[in-house]
Amino acid sequence: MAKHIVIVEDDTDQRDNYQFALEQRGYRVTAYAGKDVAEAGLKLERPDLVILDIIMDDNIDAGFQLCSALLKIHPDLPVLFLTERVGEIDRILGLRMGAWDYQPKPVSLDFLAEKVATLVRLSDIRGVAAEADDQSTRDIGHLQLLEESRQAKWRGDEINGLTLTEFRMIEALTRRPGHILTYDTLAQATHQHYVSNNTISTHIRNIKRKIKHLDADFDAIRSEYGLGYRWSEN
Amino acid sequence: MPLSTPSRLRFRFNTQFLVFALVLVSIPWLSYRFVAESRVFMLEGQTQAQEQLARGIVTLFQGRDDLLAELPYLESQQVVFSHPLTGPASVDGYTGEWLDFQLFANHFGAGEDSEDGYSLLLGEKDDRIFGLVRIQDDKTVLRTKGTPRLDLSDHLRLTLPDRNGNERRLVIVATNPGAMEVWYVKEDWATPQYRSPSSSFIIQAVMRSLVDGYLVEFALPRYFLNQRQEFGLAVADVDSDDGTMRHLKTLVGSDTTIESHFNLLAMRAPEANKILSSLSSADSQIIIYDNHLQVRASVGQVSPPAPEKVKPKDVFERVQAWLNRGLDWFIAIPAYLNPVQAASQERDLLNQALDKKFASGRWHKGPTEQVFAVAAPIVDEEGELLGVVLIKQSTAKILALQRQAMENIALLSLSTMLVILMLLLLFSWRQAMRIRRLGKEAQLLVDPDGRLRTDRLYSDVKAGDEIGDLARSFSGVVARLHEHQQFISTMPRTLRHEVNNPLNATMTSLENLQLHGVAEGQQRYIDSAQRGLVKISAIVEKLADAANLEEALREDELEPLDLFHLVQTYVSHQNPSQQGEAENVIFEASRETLTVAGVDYRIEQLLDKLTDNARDFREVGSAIIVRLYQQDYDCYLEVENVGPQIPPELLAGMFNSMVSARTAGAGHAHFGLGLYIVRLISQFHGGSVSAHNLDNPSGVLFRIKLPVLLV
Repeated sequence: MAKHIVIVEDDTDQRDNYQFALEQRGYRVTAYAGKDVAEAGLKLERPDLVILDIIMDDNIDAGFQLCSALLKIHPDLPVLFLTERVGEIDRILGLRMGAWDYQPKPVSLDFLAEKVATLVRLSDIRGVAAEADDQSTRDIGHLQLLEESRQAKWRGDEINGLTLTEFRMIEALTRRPGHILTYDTLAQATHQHYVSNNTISTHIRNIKRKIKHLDADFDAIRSEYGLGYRWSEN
Repeated sequence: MPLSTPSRLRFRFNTQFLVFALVLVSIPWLSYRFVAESRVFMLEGQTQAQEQLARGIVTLFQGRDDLLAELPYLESQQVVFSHPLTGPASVDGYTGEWLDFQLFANHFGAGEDSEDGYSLLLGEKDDRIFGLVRIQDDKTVLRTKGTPRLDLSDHLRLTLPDRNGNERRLVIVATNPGAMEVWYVKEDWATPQYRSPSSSFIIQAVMRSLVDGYLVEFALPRYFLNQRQEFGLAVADVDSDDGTMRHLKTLVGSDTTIESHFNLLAMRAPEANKILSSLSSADSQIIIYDNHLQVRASVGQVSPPAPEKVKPKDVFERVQAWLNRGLDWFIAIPAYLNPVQAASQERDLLNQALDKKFASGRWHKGPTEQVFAVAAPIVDEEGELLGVVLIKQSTAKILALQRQAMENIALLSLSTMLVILMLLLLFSWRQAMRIRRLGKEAQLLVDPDGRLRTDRLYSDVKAGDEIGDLARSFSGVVARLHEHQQFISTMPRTLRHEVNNPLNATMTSLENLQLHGVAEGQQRYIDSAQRGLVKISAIVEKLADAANLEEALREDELEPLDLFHLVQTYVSHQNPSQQGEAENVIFEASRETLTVAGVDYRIEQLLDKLTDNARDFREVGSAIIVRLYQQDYDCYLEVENVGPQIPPELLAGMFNSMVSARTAGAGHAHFGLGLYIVRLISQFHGGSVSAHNLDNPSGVLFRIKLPVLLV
């Protein structure tokens, strides 16, 4: 049975494009043009994933408000923010509200589809009690990557709050430990059209912080200034 | 660039203040003019009153020859008139109290100026008779103490018949200048009987040496005189030829026959005095002369004795004394007559009156005192001159009044001026403080990078005056500028928001178009459109990143960072890895460890901007030098390239947002944000950045100064 994806976006063109692209990939898509209609519609059924824009019409926080309302009704509902609000504060706020991921515009539809697929799969996996035992894992030193649930563990402890982009970056960095990954290579992991070195460095900083929360001496991600980063536990 | 101070405004303030001060000064000046005019008016009134008084007195004495001729004259007697002494009289050998009467001195002896003569002035005050004898003597011989005879030295012989007709003979002799001895003597004028004690109740005498002789001042009680007020005075001049032998050289008496005759001391006529006493006033003197110009009656005095000068006790009295001195200078009449000149003036008036003419005159007696005198003849019924009335009045009272008024005006003016000046100072100080506060706030409105810190002014915006208007207007301008600044600062974010949505719609549309499938040969157009859209996306992202940098930096935490390792690694990654190729970037460092508190990827971002900039401007084939060194507690990171210099006019604003030295259309899109980002990152690390043009070879050097982390 096709997974049900809800899109809430006030811009008709973008809404139609998302809907078409996802329907082409086999999803059942319901699209809403505003916060109120979406809230009314989503009271009746729980979709598999909701994609929310933040600024809708004149309400600059419409997406945040809708997210909050939906999570009250369906606490485990996967929410993806797809927005032009890309400030650090907005990103943090969105994730703290319980959104599963935060994707800035403009976005590649391929990447959006992949992200949707990942989030739906994660939702499915996390709904099963012993999800970690069944999925494939990859160990790199003290790091363990849970491929299907897109989760990572450092020294056996789960790294909390990793976004999909951050997971993909760790995955890319650890593919060939000790080797330098240039900024351009790492940019591909973000699946965005244009990513500056600084954006990549900001993602790396956030990854380091999240791991250092578990291990203050974490030093496996090394900066190769002017070129990129490499994973090395030595 | 700060505006220069408008000098015209300052001049205008000064001019206004000057005009105000002049107006203030004119108040006491006008008051002074008023007082001066009042003085003239009062003097004129006083003159007229004096003349009226003189005429009245003349009328009173008209035909009263009994009043002026009541003295029992004897043919053989010379009359010596006594003068009323007005001031304090003392027997001290000095002539201060006699100055007004010098011209009335009686001269005895060979002549007025001849040797061996003497002059005599008699005066009376408080029931005492005072005498001043000025003796001309080329050789003063003093008495040797203990000498039995009294006629062996210069001496005065005084004959005073008592009320019983007995003669008392007294010799006044000096052993030294100063107090003299008074002896009662026998008939030979040589043998002493007993010495009179020196006392103010009996007879006092004092001698003082003069250049051409000596002077004796004496005093005796009035009751020593008999009813006829007779007395005899002779001056004995004793000379010593060889220093031991002394003999009586001359004897000059106040009468030709000193042995048996007496002079008559003319006192004031009691009846005339009585009449005059009712007419006297505190500051005027009325004198009745007979036709021999001898004083027959006198009441009052011209000026009361001057109060003794008291040393100022406190600050207030000192200020008052200082004020008085100023007033003395202001009111003082520079030319005034000395007592002899004044007496001469008086004599002139009397002479005119003797010619039966009404005469008046005015002269200055002292620096602050004027005397007005009227002389009028007194005639009998036949028109014969009986005497003269002289009225003298001092203007001291008027001048004192004027002085008092001046003092009051001066004090009032000074107080008023002081109060006004204080108020003015307070007012101007307050205004200056307000303007300064406003200026200070205006200066603090803008941060060192030229951005407004706030959207309004707080100083004086509620004040109702012109400064308040100015503050409100200025605050309005600031509010508008702040709005504009807000718009400018949020513009990149707004732009991103506004651009990203259509950009996303276009890009997703292109992707969907590809999903539908495109005809052969059309894919390249879709690719081209997508590349253009990515470029637009990059531009918007760059703008927004720069605009958000300050906010983003707040999320970063400074950590100990080996700057040497960072820069070295960075430079090594800038150069080609293949051997044989020349280095693009050269690293120079003075040491191998240099720790700063920093964020590594921000320093990397800073190096990206500086090296990108150096690459864009360097001469083809030339290397970029990255230099790192420490000086004192700072380290310096320099990026230097050979190439064109930065125009001097751009150097100062080089690190502001959207400032670029590049020409339009020079390849990649540039918005002048790179160096702005460098500045923000430098400042975030507690440092600074500067740009310098280099000569020989021409080039540019950017220097980042960062504080070293002391471990």
